[in-house]
Amino acid sequence: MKSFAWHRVWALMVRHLVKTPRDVHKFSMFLYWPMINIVLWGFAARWISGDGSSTSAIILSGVVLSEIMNMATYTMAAHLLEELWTSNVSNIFATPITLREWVASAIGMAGLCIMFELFYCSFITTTLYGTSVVHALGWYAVPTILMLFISGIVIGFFALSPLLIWGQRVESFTFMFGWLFAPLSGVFYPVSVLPPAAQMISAVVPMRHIFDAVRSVIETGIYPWESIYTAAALCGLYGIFGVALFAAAYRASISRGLNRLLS
Amino acid sequence: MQQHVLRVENLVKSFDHGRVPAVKGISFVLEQGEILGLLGPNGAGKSTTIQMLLGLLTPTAGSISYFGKSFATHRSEILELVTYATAYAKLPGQLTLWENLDIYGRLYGLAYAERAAVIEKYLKFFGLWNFRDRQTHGLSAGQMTRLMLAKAFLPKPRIVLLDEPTASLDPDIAEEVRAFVLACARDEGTSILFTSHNMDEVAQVCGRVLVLSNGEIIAADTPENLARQVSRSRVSLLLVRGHEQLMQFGAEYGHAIEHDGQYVVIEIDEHDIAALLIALAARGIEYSQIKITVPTLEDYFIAVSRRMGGELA
Repeated sequence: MKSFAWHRVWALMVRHLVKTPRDVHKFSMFLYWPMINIVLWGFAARWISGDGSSTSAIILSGVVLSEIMNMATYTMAAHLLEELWTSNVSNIFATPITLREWVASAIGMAGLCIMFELFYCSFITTTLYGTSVVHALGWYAVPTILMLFISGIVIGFFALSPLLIWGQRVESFTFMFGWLFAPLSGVFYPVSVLPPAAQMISAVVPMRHIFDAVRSVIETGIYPWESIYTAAALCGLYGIFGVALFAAAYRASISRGLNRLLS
Repeated sequence: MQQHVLRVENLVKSFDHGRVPAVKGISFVLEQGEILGLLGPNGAGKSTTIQMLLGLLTPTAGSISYFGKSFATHRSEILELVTYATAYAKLPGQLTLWENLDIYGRLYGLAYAERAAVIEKYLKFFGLWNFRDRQTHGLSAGQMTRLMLAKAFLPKPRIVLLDEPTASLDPDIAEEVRAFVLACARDEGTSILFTSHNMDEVAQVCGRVLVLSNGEIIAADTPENLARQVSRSRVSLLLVRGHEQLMQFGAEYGHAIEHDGQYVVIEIDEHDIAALLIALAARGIEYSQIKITVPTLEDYFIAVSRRMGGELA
């Protein structure tokens, strides 16, 4: 008995890859909003801090990196939402595909989407501002983006769970989830400017440590690996909870019938 | 010897912590090459049963096994051989017909050449070949139903669950689909679980019918035997002469005789019709027209629905 079939993972990825270029909604999520954010925040940062300052680079990197992380979360959730929007969920889950294969295809799609988004955002920032996240972080962009990808996937599991229980009624949560942690993550500012209670809470938010590392490497050239290790540990912890919640949500949903998600 | 390809034992499903029973311990088997009808009024438990058979809904109790293997522990392996089609689901609208079938072919592990061949075969068979590069959102309900059927038969399944497969189809296409289903069972040995609200269709296609009502199987028999349970044949005569003799004959032999417009109608068992006609001739009863109506599955279904207080589907 095959326990895991990559051809089924790829089949579902093909389903989304073929559809994505034809989807106006995806166009706005992948192309329009990232560009608007980069233009607005980039020029605002340049005006506030002046050309060449690290603040401008930090804000611009924050915009791009948060777009990338949110893209991972959004793509995970959209993997299910697409099937709900097209009344295809029962067709998919009545095939031999397993839940693990479905999750693998969602993560695979998220990986492809963040790579696309990284190149797209880098192209815009290079064109407009003569710099990019990769340029600003150098090789440290690799662990940084990898950790943001993992964070996005973990948040994705939390975003998928209510969708599995309540269906399209809660789809707006999906789009909120990615930004939910932004205020505590120090995307655009150091968390030291937050009130003390918020600072304490931010300590258990993985993204805060990742963006700490981003600021550090841009300002000092030193990459604080301990921040990345902390983020990895927190992601591992939340990942366990997220996967458990997702599995429980799937069991609860299938106990009430997947077809009801379409109503 | 016939083999059970599907065995359902004491299957139970209840919702809302057991307060809403939907399926109450049903048991049945599906044989290889058999077309088994699943009938019942709305809310009888048909859809719930099919969802459990596909793994889209977890049973509360009971067991489902395909090919001698437990569905609970061999789901993925079993679903490589079990497919379904319904007139009420859709496929992603922004993909073309070919792309949709190609993705399902991939999900069932068909290699490229095999996939292309069966997609072409079924798109042509179901009259969709000319639409193969069109996005599915532009399809009519009938075309979508045919596409779902193509999807179901694509991976050469051993069991197909068909939920209202001919709903929305034109009569000629529906007839072709019924002939196709019968051929699949006869020639390929495909087993089919078939639900439909078209009783004539069920009688034509299914060798055996399970009747569900309020989550229970209340009958399991051939369509003909079910029909005979609730209704007798009706012989309608447009009399020329002998009305009084006919009424006397009815009284003597205990045949119910009633009037329906210009016709006199005699209710009688199907196997007594020949004897009746001989007796009428012997008594000089003449008629210019005769209509013989045999009981149908629809008569049975209507009677059962009324008896159960159900609503006709």
